[in-house]
Amino acid sequence: MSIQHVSAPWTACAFIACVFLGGCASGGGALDGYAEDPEAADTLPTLREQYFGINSERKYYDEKDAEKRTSIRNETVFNRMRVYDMEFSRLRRGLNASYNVIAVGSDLTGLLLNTIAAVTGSASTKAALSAAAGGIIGARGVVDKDLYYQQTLPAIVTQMSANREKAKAAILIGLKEKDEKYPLGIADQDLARLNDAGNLSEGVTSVIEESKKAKKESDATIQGLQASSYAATTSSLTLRAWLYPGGKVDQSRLDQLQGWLNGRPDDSLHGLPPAYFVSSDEAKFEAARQDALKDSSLHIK
Amino acid sequence: MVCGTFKINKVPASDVKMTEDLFRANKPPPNSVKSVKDPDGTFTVTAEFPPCPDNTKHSPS
Repeated sequence: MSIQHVSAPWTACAFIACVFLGGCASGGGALDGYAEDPEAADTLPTLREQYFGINSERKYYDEKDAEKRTSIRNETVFNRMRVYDMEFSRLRRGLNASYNVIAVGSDLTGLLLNTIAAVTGSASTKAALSAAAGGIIGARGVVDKDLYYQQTLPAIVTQMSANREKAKAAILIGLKEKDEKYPLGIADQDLARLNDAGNLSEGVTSVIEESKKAKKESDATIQGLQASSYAATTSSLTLRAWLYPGGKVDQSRLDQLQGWLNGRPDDSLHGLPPAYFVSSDEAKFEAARQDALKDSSLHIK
Repeated sequence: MVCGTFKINKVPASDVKMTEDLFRANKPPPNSVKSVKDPDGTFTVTAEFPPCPDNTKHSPS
C-alpha cells in the first residue's frame, strides 16, 4: 500500500512540530484567521530603523523653523504609531494562531495519526505514530488546564485594543497643536503609553480593573436597593392617615416621624424615609410601627 | 443622610399619589419618584436617593 511510505518515526515528529509551530506549508495565514498583511514583513524593519533610535530625532531637533519642525514631529509620530500598530497586529495574529493550532489542530492531527497507525503494516511505524498521536492528545490535556486563559483571551485582546484606541486619541489630539505646545518629547510619552497598552499584562490588568469596577457598581446597586410590598396592616393604615390628612402631606408630622426613626436603637431605621417605613410589609417595620403608635411623644390618634 | 433606592410594589392605584407625595416630602427629597403599573393592576413606586457610599446601606442621617 502506498501508506507504507510513512515509515520513519521522525516523519511523524516533524509533523507534530509543524502543527505546534503553526508554520506548515501555506497554513500560517489560515491558522491565525487573518488575511496576509502585504506590508508588515518588508516595511517594519525599514520604519524601525528610520523612526526609532538615537539618530531618528536629530532632524527634528536640528530644525529651527517652527512649521517644518511641526511637520517633522507629525511624520515621526505617525510612523511610530504605524510601527506600534504593526507590532500589535503581529501580536494578535500570533495569539490567534497559537490558540487555533492547539485547540483545533490537536484534535484533527491526533485523529489522523491514530488512523494511519491503525492501517499501516509496520510495527515500528505503528508504535511511532501512536506515540506521536498520544503526545498531541497529551499536550491538549495540558492546554485544557489553561482553559480560563483561552476563554478570556478574546476579552483581553479586546481590552488591549480599547486601551490602544484611548492612547491613540490622546496623541491625535496633541498633534492638532503646534510643535511648541506638543513637542516630540511629550508625544514620546504618549507613544510609550500606546506601546504599553498593546501588551498582554496591561490587557489582563485592565480586564481585572474593569471587572472590579463593574462588581463595585453592582454591589453598590444591591446595597442601595431596598424593596418590599405595600403593607395593609392597621399600624400602616393609621400612620399613613396621620401623615396624609385630607389628601395632603403633613410635613411637621413627617419630620417628627423622621426624628423618631433616627432616635431608635435599631440603626437600620436611621435615615429611613418615613414613606417607606409606613408602607413596607417588612416584619421589623411592623414591630417598629407598633412602637410608634404607642409612643405618646408622637401623639398619633 | 438617606441613600439608595426604595421600591414598594403592590401599591393600590388609590394609594399611589399618597405614596409618591410622602416620598417627595422627605428631607432631603429623593432625586426621583416613579410609579409603574404592574400587570396585576397595582403599582410599583420607586424613590431614588443619591447612591450609597461604598460599604454602607441606607446610611444613617
